[in-house]
Amino acid sequence: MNNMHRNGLQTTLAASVLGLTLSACTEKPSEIAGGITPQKMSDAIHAVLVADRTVYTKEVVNRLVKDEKVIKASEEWKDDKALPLPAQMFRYGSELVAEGDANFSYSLLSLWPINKQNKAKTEAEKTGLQYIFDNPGENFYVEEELGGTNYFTAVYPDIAVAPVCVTCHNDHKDTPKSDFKIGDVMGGVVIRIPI
Amino acid sequence: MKINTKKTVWWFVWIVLSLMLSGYYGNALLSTDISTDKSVYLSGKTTDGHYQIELKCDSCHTEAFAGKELLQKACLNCHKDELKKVEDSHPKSKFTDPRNADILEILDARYCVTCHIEHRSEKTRLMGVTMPEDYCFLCHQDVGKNRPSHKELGFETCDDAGCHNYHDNKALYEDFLVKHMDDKSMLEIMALPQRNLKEHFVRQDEKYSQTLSADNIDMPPEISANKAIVHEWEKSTHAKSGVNCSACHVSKGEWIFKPTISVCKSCHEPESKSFFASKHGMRLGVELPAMKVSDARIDLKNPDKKILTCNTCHTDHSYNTEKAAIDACLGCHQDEHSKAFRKSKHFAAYQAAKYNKAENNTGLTCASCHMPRLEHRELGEKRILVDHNQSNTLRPNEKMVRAVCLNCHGLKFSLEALADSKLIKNNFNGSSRFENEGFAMAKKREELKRLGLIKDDDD
Repeated sequence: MNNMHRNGLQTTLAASVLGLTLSACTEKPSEIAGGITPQKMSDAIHAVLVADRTVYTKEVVNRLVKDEKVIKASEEWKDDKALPLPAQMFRYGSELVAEGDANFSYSLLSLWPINKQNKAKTEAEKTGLQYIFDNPGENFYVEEELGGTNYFTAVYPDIAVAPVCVTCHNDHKDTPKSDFKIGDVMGGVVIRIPI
Repeated sequence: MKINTKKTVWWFVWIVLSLMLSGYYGNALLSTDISTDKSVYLSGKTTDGHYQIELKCDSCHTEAFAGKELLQKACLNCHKDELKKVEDSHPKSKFTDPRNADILEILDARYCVTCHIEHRSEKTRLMGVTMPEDYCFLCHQDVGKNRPSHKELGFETCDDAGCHNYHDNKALYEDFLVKHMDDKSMLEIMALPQRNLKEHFVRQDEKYSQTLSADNIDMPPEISANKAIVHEWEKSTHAKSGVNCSACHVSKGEWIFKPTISVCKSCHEPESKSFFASKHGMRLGVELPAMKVSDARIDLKNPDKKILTCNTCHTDHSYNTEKAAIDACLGCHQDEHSKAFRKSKHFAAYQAAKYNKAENNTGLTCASCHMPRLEHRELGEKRILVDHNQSNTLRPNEKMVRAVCLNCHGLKFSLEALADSKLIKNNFNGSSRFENEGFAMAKKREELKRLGLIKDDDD
């Protein structure tokens, strides 16, 4: 009786574990119940990133450089004792995050990058950047495998919010596109979360 | 039972020998006594940069069977500040981005040891690099697409003097070349930054504004003062800055006859830090006995057992920085560059300044270039301090350009001079044999930009 009971318990436990495993396998990681989904996490990260980026671009760089003309913004801001460009500010944050153990990464890419290292490289980036350009106001979500790890990858439009965005990109000697206008999608913020 | 005596003896000998060998190797491995010889565990000749601390194995191998991460931590323990200061062009954060996972499969640039493998002297090149000369090809093989001027250049020439460096491109990036394109060889104002250490201490405490003399010494009466020593001190910057005998010789109320290096460090912290990172002081930096002149791998004059501490160059009591900046160096270094110094234009400038024919901060010593005066910011205060790590401007030598050369010379002139080994040997007596083509390339791109002709694939 005891043996039978033990066997029954073992069978039940095994079935439960198998059931849970199968159930986890059939659900997409982005849909696992009871926790925040990668998409929600990514959207939240992006909300913070885009808010900081907009404030810095509009209230710091555009105001001081374009409106009040009290300081310059420069790629070589340390040497020139100037303000870092908004894209640099964004990248420095991304690099600091990368130095830690945040378990997510983000970058600023474009179909028309000034620095060629920031052009779309993976298939997800290529498709995503084209998608957000073709579908204004929409984000792009996909899963991809890079270096043996699976990632939830989100691509968000990066829009020209102030005159400095447009003039700086249009005038840069390495820009492949010189007819940006305010409101245009200039590139995309790519967030990756390992799953 | 019959005992085989012969066999028993051999067993006994074998056990004794095994125990002796185990004791010897075990002691060498586990001993924390710095005098224990651990050289039996060196797996190959150590690089010039690390050989002084090679017997302090745990400087790098912080734990037994440590993986790459711990080894990397050890590298950064000594080199992190340096990489940050030079705004490393290839920081780890660039390679941890998942989008660069394909690059990591070719070159795992997250770890220093990928390019700087220790104990592999047979393939170690300058700067401790163990990669082949053309390693840039691994990631930048399509450079000619965006820079057609580079199409015909061999990848083994990327890091030629004055072109590119893997870590430090602060004097080499394109906009910097453009900005300094028209600099004259000799600038109109040629001067080194003026040191301002005394002002710093006076701000801390008004007592450092005093000038002391022999009448003011605060040596205890039971200790008889050596007149010669008092006289040396009286002429020193210490006496002229209110630093009395007790400042160095008294610790916890006790008179110390031979103050240790920690006493120097207590007032000169940033200078000590750079000294401990240098080839002169790195052994002290990891708590090994100070380096002896005879330990040097380069050919030195009088390679005796003299040890290198602060007082070796800054002779105690007089602390004559002029002597420390030339005589101390030439007391040991006898390579062609050093021997040519007293015939150089730089030395002539030093003499002109010394004999009041020129401004004070226009004289050039060995230290002016190899231990430059650099801006140091701390808590909002700007100080000019001497960097005592001579490797900071020699690893590689273009690092000297911004820290030193541009105080007096134009960028092109400086880069071209430093690219010419013959000119370096004769201590810059003559003109460089090389022209830095980077300036012409940068100028051409500026011109194309002005004409609006730069496209994605254009130079």
